[in-house]
Amino acid sequence: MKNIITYIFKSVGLAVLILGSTLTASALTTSSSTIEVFVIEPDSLGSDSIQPKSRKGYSSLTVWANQSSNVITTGFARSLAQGGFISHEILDPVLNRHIGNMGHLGGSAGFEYSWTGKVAEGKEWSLCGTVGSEMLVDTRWTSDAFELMWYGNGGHTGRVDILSGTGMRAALFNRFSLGAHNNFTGQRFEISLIQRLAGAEWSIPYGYFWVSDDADSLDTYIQTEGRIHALNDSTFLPAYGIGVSGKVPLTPVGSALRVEVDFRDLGILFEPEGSKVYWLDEGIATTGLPVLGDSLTWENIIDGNVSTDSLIQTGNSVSRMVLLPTKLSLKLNYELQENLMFSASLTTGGWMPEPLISVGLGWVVSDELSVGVKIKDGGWGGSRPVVWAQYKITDKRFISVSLEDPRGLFINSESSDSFKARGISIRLQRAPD
Amino acid sequence: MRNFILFVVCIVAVSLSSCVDREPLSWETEIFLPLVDDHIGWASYVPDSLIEIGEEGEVAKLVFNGVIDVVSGELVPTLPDTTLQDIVAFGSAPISIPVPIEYPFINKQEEMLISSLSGTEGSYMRELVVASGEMIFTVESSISGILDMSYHLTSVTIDGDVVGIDLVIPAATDSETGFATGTVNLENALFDLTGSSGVGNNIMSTSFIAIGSTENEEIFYATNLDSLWVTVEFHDFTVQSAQGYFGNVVVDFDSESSIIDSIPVPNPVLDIEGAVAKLTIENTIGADLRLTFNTLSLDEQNLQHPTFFGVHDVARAHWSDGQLIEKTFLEIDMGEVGSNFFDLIESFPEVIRGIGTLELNPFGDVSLGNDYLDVDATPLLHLDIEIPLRLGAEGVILEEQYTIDPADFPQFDGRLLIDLYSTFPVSLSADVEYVVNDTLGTIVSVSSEIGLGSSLTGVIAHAFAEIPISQATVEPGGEIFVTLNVNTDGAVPFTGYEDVRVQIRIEGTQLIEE
Repeated sequence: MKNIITYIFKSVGLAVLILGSTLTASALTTSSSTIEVFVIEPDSLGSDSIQPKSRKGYSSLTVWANQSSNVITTGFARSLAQGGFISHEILDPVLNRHIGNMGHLGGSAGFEYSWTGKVAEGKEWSLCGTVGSEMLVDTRWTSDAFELMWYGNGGHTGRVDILSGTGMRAALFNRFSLGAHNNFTGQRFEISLIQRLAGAEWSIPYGYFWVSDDADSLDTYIQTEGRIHALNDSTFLPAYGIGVSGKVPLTPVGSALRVEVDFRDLGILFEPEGSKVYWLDEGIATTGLPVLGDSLTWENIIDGNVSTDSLIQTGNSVSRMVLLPTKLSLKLNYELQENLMFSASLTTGGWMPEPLISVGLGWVVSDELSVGVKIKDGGWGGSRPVVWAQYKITDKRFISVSLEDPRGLFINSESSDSFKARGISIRLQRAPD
Repeated sequence: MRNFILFVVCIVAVSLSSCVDREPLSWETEIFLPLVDDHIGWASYVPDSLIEIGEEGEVAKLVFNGVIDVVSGELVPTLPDTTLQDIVAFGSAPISIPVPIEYPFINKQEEMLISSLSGTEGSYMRELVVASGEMIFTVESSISGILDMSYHLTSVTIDGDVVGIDLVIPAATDSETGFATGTVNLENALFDLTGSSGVGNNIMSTSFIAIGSTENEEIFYATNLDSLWVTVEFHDFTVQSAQGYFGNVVVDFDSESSIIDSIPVPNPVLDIEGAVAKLTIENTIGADLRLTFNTLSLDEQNLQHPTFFGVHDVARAHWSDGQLIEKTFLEIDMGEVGSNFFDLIESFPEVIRGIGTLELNPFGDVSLGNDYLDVDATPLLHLDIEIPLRLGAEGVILEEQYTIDPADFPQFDGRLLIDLYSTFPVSLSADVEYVVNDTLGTIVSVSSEIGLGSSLTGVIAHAFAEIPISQATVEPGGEIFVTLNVNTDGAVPFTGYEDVRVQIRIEGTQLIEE
């Protein structure tokens, strides 16, 4: 009992430390992640896990792809894909969904193989590792930028259109991790070598556009920066980084409540020099005020009579360190009944603009089949349903399938027009002996 | 797993099929942007220096402060290039004299009278400061030894130091004489031409010293056949200031100056009540001046004036120690009764021309050689005119042109909005033409009337015009011509704050296509 209490205090302390570090990292970069979290873990802790016996380890292979947005519906995306005239009837609902003045669209796709080595009888630690690859895409824009692009400025003169915060980034990360798995507590710590094989980013840190009510004055300013992580001959410019990943279960023995803190890719990416970098810093203002001689006008600007505050630069980047797309998850499972389980999770980071919250129920239908449903909210998207099922193929092997906003998967069908997210995740896993 | 693969294949197939026969994406945006915002006031066509804004509702004034240069430096004394030659011989000594090296064997102090100064009969100089010039000193010696020589203009100083030159004259040989030369820059040199007595004129004092050089290895001798040929040349003198008597100089002048030519008012009516015009003769030299005008014309219209064409004597200015203490002036009222000056001004002349003579020292050497002149302060004529801005006009008073550059406005459907705001206290009619840069030279024109405004009370008269435009007329760009016409009923007072604001905006929708 004393060991368990010590273990709980150590785990909580470690979790707090990691949480603090991750939140700091999140404040410096936006972060993300998308690996589906299943309610029922065959690797769950039980009283017999405290005294491990010699047995085979755990392994799983997960493949996933998901995308979500808080404003872009399948219908709108389909309209863009099909082409043709985009009318205000199509645009108005999208614009009206920009709650909080920001639109997001992002997602990830990839695979991950995770394993734990053979558990020797009486041994506390086992070797574990992970190999995976993940493509991350994160785009975000202000509602003003959206309106300026699709509607023009004519309908809202006199208003300052905020462009700051608009941007996109995409990158392909490969990771290889090795670490140790505690056979008594289920704790897992890995050191990861992470490769960013390719990537690009563009952002407007500061920008606005303003035309006065009567359109007699114009004032606009934009600072923007773009980076393509490739060499001049368009070959990839990989970057490498070091991170730590792991999980810390916080489950008292005999309790129906299971809590787990996961952290992933907490570390630094060392970006080499040579990425193509583009900067634009442009300001134009027309006062429209009476002055002796001509006032500042668009005409004067075009004629070159007015020196605008303009700076355009291109070049190659110097080496730098950036944060990895760190992700932190806090998961909670509670066994309501023998065959009914409540689950909740809070995930932040992984380039997601907002924390991702998930709440759901799982039902053990039979010895072979479990099913469940969840509601997700946040990340790049709004509220959307998730359904999942887990099937026991053999005594130790399971297959799990999770569908995020399933109706959104029917991209070419009008029935999915109003949906803004879609995703699928498949996991094959082998439970330890 | 097989089902999953099938599912992925289906998604890819659907995605690919959706790309077939895809139409170009297009959408419509609405733009409303400023193109031109121009303020056209008096400053647009009257230079700032020609208008004096009326304060607290007073009528503005057209102001002309012109300078007519009638001298152009012709009164300044001149110093012609001068060459002085001297031969120093040793007389009829019967024997050869050893040349000493301990003390000068030639020590000659002279005062030279320079008669060529100024060139005006009766004139003389007591002091000169030259802005530039040089002295070239050349000496040839038949003496068979090396001589150390110095030549100084003891009455000439630069910054207090006597001007001079030291030379080493080589020994003469059987075949050639010893020759040495040197140049002294006389920039800013002060010439005291009063001689050793201090009361003389045109006198320059010199000192010539020769001594045997210590470089000689043997004693050498000067015979009665030996001599030194000394040449002093003064070149390229320009006078900065002079003191003396400059003589009775008569200079003809024929000068012209631009006047209020930059006020293009059509059929102008100018109310000259309260107008002031005066011609001021400003004497800045320390000598009496007499100015006689033969003709004064404005745009070739001759001035008629009861007193202007007489003799105008102006007393000398007061100089002391090279400083101008007090100028002297003579004012002539150009608008006095009997003058047609303002009649000539009403037609907004462009050029004023004066022909006459300027006479220096008309009463002779009354200063007893204390005339003073500095080339940086020469006499001038100032013509000062102030005319209240009570003006009438009939016709086009303003033509402005604005360029609309070619721009990408796909399927544009909109209009150019033209606002004209006027604070001029007269009615204006505005004609706006948009000439498209297309092959046909399409012209779209509109007209509008602007009522009475007032800069004093802040009343802004407004006129609005609208030019429909499409992609065909806006994409090639073009020129917008704004013409303002005025027809006043007689002269109207202006404060100088009046202006017309021309504001052109573009409003409409365009179709963006990928």
